[in-house]
Amino acid sequence: MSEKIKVLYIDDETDNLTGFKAAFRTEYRILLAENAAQAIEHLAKNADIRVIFCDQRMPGKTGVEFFEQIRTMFPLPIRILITGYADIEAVISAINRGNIFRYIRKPWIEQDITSAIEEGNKFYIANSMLQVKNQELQLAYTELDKFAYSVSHDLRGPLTGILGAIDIGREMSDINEIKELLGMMEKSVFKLEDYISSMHDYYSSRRGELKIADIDFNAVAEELKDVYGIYTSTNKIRFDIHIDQPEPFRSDEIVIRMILNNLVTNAIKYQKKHFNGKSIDINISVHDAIATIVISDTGIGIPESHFEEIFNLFSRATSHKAGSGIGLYNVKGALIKLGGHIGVSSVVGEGTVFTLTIPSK
Amino acid sequence: MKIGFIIVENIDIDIYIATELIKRMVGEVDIETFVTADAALNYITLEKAPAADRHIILLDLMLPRMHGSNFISLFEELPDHIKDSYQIAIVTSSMNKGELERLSKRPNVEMIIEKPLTRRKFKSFLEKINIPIAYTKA
Repeated sequence: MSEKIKVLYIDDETDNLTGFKAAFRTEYRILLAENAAQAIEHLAKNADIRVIFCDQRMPGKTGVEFFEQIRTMFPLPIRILITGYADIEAVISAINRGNIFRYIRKPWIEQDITSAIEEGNKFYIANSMLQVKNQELQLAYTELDKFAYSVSHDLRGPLTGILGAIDIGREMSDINEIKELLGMMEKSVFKLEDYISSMHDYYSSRRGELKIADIDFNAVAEELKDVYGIYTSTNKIRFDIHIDQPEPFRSDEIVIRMILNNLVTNAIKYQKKHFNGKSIDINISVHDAIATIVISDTGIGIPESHFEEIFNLFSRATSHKAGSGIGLYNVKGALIKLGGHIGVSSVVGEGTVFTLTIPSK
Repeated sequence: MKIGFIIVENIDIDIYIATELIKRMVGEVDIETFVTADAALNYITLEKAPAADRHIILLDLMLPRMHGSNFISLFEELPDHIKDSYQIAIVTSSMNKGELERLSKRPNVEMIIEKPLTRRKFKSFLEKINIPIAYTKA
């Protein structure tokens, strides 16, 4: 264990305090208090006190009363009472009301104290973990709410569009009109499909464990060219990838591919409509166990005021292109998992550059 | 009586459907399309709309930059001589019943139309606000 467990001991008899400290100072970090006021002072200063021992018989206030007093103010530390047989009724009722975790008979032996600290510490850790899990759960609920909201727009939206198109299509007889309508219906279906696959990415990247292996970025580049080459060449987008990998690199290939796919899809999606020099450049270099990936495009760009929020869930920087608002959120989440970082710079109307750094695992 | 339509919608297919329905069921009228609510509001505020006795707004709710409900709130602050010629139909795929219920009670909102916008729904909207239907097979 790197750090000693912090233990607070309260007793009005200074001999007991000194004895306690002498017995346990090597194994634990011991704080001492002669009365409730001193104890509270310690608690206020040391948020990381894990276990509190308190003597039941003290002038002014009993140990049970003291624990009852501090319980709401300092709920986390584990409360242990030290007492003789005579106080057994008070102890039982204190345990039953949840004010103390356990009690130790007087005179105590070292073994009892050690075991109480160890058990108390375990309980403390379990409790803290529960708090962390609760926070995670709260976060998950918030995300679920956002998701429910987006369901009506991103899942239902394209579907209602298609339904409306079918309805109006029923009274069309001009084949060209019908074809135009079909084209738009197709777009809606693609949008829906895009949304579903990014939802899939999102959940698999959230749930999945990393699978670390050697990555050959040249192979990754070949695959990107296979997937996007035809599309970019028919749409007159120059698509170049440059790899400089003199050393091995280890990470999760599927996650890295997901990141690249998202960024390349964006670079394609947000190209300027009527522009002759469309291009996407990817530069990947691996040096000193860090991969630096730079993806630049000649797209519509992102206003600087949106740099922060584009990585948020369901955020969309632009109105005239339909994105799901999940892509970059997934990218950022995946990078955090890989211990990496993403930065963006962009000039509206000129293009966007995403710079990623990912450490080798 | 001269009628003009304003479509506030950012989804291509929905703009297309609304435009086609207006052309087919109302006839050749002015149709202005905005993909954001703030642009539409600007247009209305500056009284750029071609002169017409009645302006009908087909308003989507989930729009980028400004939500449709914010549009309605800001619209309500416009002077009466502008507001009086406008009627709003909310066209939405929102499933938030509470929000829709509240919006349906706003003074300038004539109707909430749940997407998909179909011939039948558009017809009943036109009937409700007494716009003669030029042509329909619905």
